[in-house]
Amino acid sequence: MPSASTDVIQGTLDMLILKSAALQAMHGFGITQRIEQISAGVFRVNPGSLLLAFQRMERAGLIDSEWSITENNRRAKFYRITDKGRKQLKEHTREWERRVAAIARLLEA
Amino acid sequence: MLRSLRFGVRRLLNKDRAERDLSDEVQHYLEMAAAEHMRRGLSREEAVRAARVAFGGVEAVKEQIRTGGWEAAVESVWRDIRYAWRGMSRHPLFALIVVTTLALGIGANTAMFSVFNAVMLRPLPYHDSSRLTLLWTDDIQRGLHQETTAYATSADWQRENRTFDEIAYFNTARATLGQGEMRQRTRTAFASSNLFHLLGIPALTGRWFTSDDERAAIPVAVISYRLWQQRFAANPDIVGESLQLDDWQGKSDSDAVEIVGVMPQGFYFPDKQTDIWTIASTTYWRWKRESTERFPPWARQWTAIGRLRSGSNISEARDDLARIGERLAQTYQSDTADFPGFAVNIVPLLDTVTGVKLQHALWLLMGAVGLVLLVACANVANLLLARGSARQQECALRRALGATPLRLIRQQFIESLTLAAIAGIAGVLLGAAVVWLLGVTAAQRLPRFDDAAAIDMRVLAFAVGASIASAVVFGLLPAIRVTSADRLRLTRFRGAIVLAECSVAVVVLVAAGLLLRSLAHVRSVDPGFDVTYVLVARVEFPRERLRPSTSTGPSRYGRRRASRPSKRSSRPSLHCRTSKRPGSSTTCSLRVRATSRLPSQARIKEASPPVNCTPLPPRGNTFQRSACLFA
Repeated sequence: MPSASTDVIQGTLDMLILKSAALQAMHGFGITQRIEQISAGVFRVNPGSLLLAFQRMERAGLIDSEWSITENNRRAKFYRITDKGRKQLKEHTREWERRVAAIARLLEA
Repeated sequence: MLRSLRFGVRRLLNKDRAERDLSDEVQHYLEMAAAEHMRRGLSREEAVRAARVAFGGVEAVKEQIRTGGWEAAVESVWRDIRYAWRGMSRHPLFALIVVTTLALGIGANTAMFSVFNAVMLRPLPYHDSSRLTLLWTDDIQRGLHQETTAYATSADWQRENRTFDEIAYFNTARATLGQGEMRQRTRTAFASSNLFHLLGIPALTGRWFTSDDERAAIPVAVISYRLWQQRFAANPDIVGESLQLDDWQGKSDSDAVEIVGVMPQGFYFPDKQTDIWTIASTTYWRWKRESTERFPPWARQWTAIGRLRSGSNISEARDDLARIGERLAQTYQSDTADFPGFAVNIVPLLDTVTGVKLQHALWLLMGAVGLVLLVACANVANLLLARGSARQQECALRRALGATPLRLIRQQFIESLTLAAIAGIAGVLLGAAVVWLLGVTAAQRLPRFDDAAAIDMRVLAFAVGASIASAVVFGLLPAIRVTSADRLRLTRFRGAIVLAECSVAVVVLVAAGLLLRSLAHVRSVDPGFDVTYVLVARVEFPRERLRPSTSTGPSRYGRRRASRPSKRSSRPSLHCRTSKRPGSSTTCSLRVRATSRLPSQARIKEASPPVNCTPLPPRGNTFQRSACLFA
């Protein structure tokens, strides 16, 4: 089955990033890995869109960033969810579940 | 949104750090991705390559992130401005011509708008002055539409109207203040007790007079700021002071009024000469006689001022007062032959101060300078188009490299805006100079011009608006044309612009010529006698100063003047009108021939006894009038 690109709906990528960052503060590649792992390869993350999304969401106040030094003595930027981001995630989840339920009803009818 | 602002500003201020952060983040991502690939079994080079491939174009992604925030647009515009500036320094003559042309147009508009603003847009110094109107008796038979009214009639208006918040009445008269050596002529206003409440400007010190004062029948007065400064030296304990107020003709017993308040600086009502306001029913010396009659002309001396109710307009007020007038006409029959009737004419206060003809003239002049600016813009547009044919190659190259037409147009437009901005600043300075010049030469002839003829916020905003509008008018079209059209269409377009420019210029020139001719006509109207170099001064001195042979005092003065050599030497003549009662003042008209061109404020020097002159507003073309007080 071909992988769906998360680019299709920008809101989807935002939601996935928020969910990953909610579990634990992570750097960019780590979030990519988490999304791809948990979705079992269904979603592939475009790195360019990811980094752009980070910038957008950080400015909107949904995530916070922090620089730290990794074991390899490299600078890495870690992203953490904020309270505002948590609220947004909850709303997105609720909206998503509503839509899924509606589509399920349509398909069964 | 504040957060976004903070981030953008941080990036603008420290570009190097932002770039380093971006590189580090991308680098880290690639390394992690490569490490993951290596874990899956690829060699180091293959892993690195795979990571890069998966990432996509590194530089492209970086560029996307760089331009993702609002600060990128700001930077882009700033770069365009710097490019425009470089272009101007390379061709300074072109820039100078454009800026000069525009500055003249913007300067003329700024100056004209400053006058327009001072005379028409600025509210009068009363609370909510747009709702203030004057109520005149309309003598329809004789065609006189601004006649004064009897107190009894204005009281009926006040009682029966439905469209006004309140109506007050007033009249002004000449009076003398003080006694003995401190005597001073002034103009006094006699008004209803609700006048200040109607005007709505709070007193600087003390209070207004009110209907309580009228009921108590105690003579009270409010004085002007100028009187407070000049006569009382801004005494902070002025409230409660007593002041002697006399009918200038000395026909009644003198009265002392108690000062209850001082009005703020810049307040005047109904004109700038009135320095003291009192309640008519208490202080006016002929009140008892005049207030009972309705028909004789000596009783019809009062002017009414009304504040319209917030829901009413003038036509409703006119109908309302016409209804009252009809009722009055039926109830009261006139016993005087020349009674004008009870018809009413309502005029907004601003129209009375500035005059409708002046307002029309100002609109005309605003239109004219607007056309001048349009011609200037057309000129500049032409210049830009002429330069544009050289620019077309550059634009074609940039288009080939991937620039969007919108980007190119924006850059050209920013160049136009920069030119317009510089021209705007120069124009404001020019306009300020013209306004100053007008103030020196014409302040006395333009109502409301002298006290606020400055470049204030509204005028500056207008100048900014004019600059931007000019930039749009002259800049947008050439920008669009240059980035797209071919050479032939450019030339034809320029021809059309030149044609339009010339037509408008001819229209404006012809109009200006006609106006100048009318002005020359007006100035050359013959008053019937030789008015060149004639100064008419009103000289006033208390009667005690005159010795029994009254000719000695003034003509001693006259002789002194005659001893000055003058080209058109003719003895200055002094005509005096004295009143018979002792202790009253005398008014003399002194006609003096000056030897040189009169300055705008004429002063009589070397007079004996010494005179203290205040200039009066000139009447007619060349007379200068002053009221002079012997010290």
